[in-house]
Amino acid sequence: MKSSNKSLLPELLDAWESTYKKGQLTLWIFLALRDEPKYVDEIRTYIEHITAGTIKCEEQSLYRNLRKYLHIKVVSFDLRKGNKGPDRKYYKLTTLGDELLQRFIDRNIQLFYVPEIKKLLFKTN
Amino acid sequence: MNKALATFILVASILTLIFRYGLSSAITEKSWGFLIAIAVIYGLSMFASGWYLGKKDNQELPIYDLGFRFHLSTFLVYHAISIIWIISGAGNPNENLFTIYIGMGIWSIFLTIHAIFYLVERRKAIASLDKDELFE
Repeated sequence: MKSSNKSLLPELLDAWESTYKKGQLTLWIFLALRDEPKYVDEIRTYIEHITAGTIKCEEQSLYRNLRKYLHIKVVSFDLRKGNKGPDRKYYKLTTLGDELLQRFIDRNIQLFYVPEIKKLLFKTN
Repeated sequence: MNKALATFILVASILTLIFRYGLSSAITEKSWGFLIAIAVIYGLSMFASGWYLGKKDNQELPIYDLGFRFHLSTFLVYHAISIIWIISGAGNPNENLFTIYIGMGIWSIFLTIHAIFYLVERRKAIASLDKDELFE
């Protein structure tokens, strides 16, 4: 009985993670841009690197999101020379975008640093 | 206006021109079967291009307008081309502006209802973008 429960674990974790990851892309894009201005491919590799591969994003999805962020003025870009071909768009957070990210962190991420919750997060049996 | 809507206006203009030509020819030839066929084909092709380019439009930016921009564009393109077609004398003598204006009046009622829904639902948007699709 116990071993059949354990065999369910990877499947359950996958299902939970796939729900959990929905809605996370914005946070990771904003964090990538807070680090420093980046062009699309740099954002993609940066996110995959800092999340140790748990968050993967396709370029099309990044472009779609960046278009929305540009439209609502939380992101802007500078054109810089690429190695070859046309100039690259280096995206960066605007003041509004940075403030939005900070408020989001204060309300949703800081919670994990409350001692009581932190103790539970790192509790081992 | 974005690329998908601009493409739709172009496609709708071409389809409407073909439709007006077909309609005038069918009336002249008194070919009623052809008249019905071209009206059905026109309706279906307008619907299909609106459907396809509407999806493209949403992929580009999720503008929350309940399809109102596409509806308004269709209304303007159809009537502008139809009026020009008749005024320029390209149509059959049995086609007249009065019929176009009657159609325009009836269609305006539906367009107004659509506009009211759009204005009411606009509170679900931030800077015209769908709140639910803004952050993923």
